[in-house]
Amino acid sequence: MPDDRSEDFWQAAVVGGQQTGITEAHLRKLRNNRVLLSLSSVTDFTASAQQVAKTIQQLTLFVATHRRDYVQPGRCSEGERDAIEEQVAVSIKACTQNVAKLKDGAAADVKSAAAQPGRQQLATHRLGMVLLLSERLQAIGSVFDQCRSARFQQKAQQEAAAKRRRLSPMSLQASSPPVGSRRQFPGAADVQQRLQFDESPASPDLELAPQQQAQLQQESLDLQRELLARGDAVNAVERSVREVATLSSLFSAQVMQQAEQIEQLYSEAVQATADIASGNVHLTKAIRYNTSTRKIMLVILLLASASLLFWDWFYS
Amino acid sequence: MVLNVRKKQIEAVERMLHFHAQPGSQGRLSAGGGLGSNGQTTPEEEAYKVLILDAFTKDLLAPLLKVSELRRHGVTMHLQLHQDRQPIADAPAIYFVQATAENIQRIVADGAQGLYDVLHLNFVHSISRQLMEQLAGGLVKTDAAQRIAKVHDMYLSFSTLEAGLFCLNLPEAYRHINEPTASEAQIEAVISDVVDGLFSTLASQSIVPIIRCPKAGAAQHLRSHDHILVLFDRNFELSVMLQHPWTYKPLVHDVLGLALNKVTVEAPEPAGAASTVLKPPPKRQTFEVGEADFFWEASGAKPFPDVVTDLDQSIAKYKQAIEDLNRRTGADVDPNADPNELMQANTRGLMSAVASLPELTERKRTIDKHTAMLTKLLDCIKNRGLDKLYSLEDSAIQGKCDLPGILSVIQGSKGTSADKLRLAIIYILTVDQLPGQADADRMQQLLEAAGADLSAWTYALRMRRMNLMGRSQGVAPVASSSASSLEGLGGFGSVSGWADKAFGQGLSSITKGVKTLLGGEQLTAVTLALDTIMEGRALPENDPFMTFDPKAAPGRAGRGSGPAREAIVFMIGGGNYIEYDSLQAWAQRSQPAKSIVYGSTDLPTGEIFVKQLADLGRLTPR
Repeated sequence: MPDDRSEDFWQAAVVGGQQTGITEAHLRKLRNNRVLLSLSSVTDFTASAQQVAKTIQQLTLFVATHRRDYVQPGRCSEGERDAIEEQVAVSIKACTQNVAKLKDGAAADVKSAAAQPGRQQLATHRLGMVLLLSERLQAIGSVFDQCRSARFQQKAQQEAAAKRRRLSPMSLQASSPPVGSRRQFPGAADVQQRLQFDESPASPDLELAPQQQAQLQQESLDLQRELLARGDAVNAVERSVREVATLSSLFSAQVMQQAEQIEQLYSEAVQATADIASGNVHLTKAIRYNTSTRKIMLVILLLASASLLFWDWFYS
Repeated sequence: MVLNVRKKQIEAVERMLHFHAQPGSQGRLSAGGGLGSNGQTTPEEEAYKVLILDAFTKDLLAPLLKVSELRRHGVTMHLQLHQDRQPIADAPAIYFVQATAENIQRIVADGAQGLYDVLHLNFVHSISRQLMEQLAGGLVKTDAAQRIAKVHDMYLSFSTLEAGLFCLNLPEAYRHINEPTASEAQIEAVISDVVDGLFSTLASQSIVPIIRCPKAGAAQHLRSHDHILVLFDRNFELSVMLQHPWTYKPLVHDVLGLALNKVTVEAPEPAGAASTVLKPPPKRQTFEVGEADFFWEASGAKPFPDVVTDLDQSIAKYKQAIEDLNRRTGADVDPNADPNELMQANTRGLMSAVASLPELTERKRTIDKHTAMLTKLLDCIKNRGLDKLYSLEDSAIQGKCDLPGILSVIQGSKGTSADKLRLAIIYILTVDQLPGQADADRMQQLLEAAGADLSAWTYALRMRRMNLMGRSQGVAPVASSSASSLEGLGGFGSVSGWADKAFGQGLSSITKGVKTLLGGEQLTAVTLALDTIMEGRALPENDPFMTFDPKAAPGRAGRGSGPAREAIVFMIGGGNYIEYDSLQAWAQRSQPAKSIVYGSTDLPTGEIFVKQLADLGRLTPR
């Protein structure tokens, strides 16, 4: 239960001001001006960082609100889902670019800080901001990746279910003799199954009319052609799906790589700050030793010359 | 309500990092902005801040939040208050420091230099009126008072290591309190630190307990609730502090030096390394343990051999998981499978594999860490013969003293001199009949031969003898902690009023002889006492515990009423993982399950505590 003591502080400040001749009105004016001063003194870097943060937050909200519709089957059409994906992809890309720009700016700061030691901590602070942004971006990227993979899994499951549904009515019809119109079957296995079933009841009647045989052959050739075409189409779809999957993984990999680079830079900067601090300590120690050494040398020299003069006088 | 000190502290710190803003309606935190301004500054504008700590708060936050978690709350970096800091013009700074004069001066200097845009001050405990005036005056003079946005008293001056374990980080408290030459002011200072810490702990939980303590301690009258705060003095049971542990967590604490949930281990020399002239220095690795570590939580309370088998099982499970992973990602392909199915299975397998990979790497890291720690522990146990020491001490505490065994170990070559000293002191403290002068001298000679510092030994012997001489003659309960001189014991000097009464009771009262349950689990004296208190039973002898019930009329100490469910146990003078584990095991075993929080002024290892006893022995006049 933290206690807010700001009012006490203000009272004490007023009292202190009265002692040094500053009126309360003046203090109040200073306090009110503070907010304006803060807002106006924001540097460009910080302003753009805040902008990117706002964008990422909006993106997070967007994904959160549309996530349920996107993931659950039957709530959204495919077109809407594609639209959502596109928007998110564009947004992530833009944010990645902005973060990369900020990172370059921060890295340049770090380099210039090596020359001007007074800006080391500022450079580390900026790198920290960039790291923060990239971590948030990575988080939202992976969340969206999960949604996408869920969507693709659903698609795959739907395909498998449809396949099985098409298989089972065919196996029911396979035992029926009519050789006529059977059009809509996919896989080669079904055709084989059908032909097998066809042959077994046909085997007792070996003399089939030659037209029927020719018809059968024709139909089987047609089926074959159709199957090949479908097979090609399926392969093409598979290829594109895999491409999309790799692309999406590329997104998150890119962001992750960026995050790693930034994290490395940041830890180096923090290390540099710590090193500078310890370096300062060493330097002050060295200076102290130097001065003390010098003093000792001085004293020794004086003593030596004094003793020389003394002996000289003594023995003359 | 289960007491979880750590969660409450984390919540308080996180709120501080978000400028104590009230959570908004959509879960967005809108920061409160500057002093008195009504402008709603959006979260993004306050998103990047710098955190300034001092040495005390650094230790406080270390087991609590990692740097990556700080970053999640928007802290880009954390700096030390007394370090040379450079200006970062457009960032708000959150100060989380103790309210001392030195720190206040530094804050005024920071404000004058204009290092940061806005300063939010949060004091670990609370800032006194005088220091507040100093702060405000200094800042007004340098025209920087308007930079201070808020000032808060956090009341968080304690450090939590686990959900039920907290520590006040007050080193050498036992020595300070029991020092015969300590002035009243010194003892008052230590006591007020303890009070601050306890008050912070209770305040963070927002509870107000009934207080039971062996004497009038630093009790405060607060609102009433269904909790009990039990205060113990370390002299209640000294032997547990010196005992050599045999379960995992206390072993790591005692042998490897667990502090603030961090352990530093030197990597063992690789086998077969040739002894060259320039041997590379042994690599030191620092490991972190805590509640997130699954192995630590699962095996922490088990004795050493069980922990080794547990680790073997974990390694086997991990290898199994890796094999599963390899199978799922299609490393071995079944040629007869339908290619479509294979493709689908492949992608599915890949996705789930990628998802589970980070978790597996984390598990591997944990297993490696514990392997290193266990190897080092095994080395130490073999070199120092800790298993023998443990069994001897265990039998001594149970009352079956094995004097020849103890003497042979002291004369033996295994074990450091501190180990032997601890064994001897435990013997002295727990043996039924104090040994005669000849035996004591012989033991003293052996200890000297082993190179142990005898001041601790003589101190323990003297304390034990004092107890047997009987000190029940009219020692009135001391309301304050001032040192009182006891006329009845000429020559001992002035001993603080705590030590004598509590010590006398500790050895000759209800908890004489610690019981050991099946499976090597030990019930410490504290656990037994707590059992009695929480069950609300009447105690066999005159109740050595005073009760302060906030509900009763002020000024009267009544008896406890009815069984309580939750308790906070506080040990003044130093605590130990053995006691903590014993309390937690008892709490989980009891019906219905109780929730106990254990805390102490600090958590010294056995060796550190022996040093404190030695210092006390040296300071006590003969």
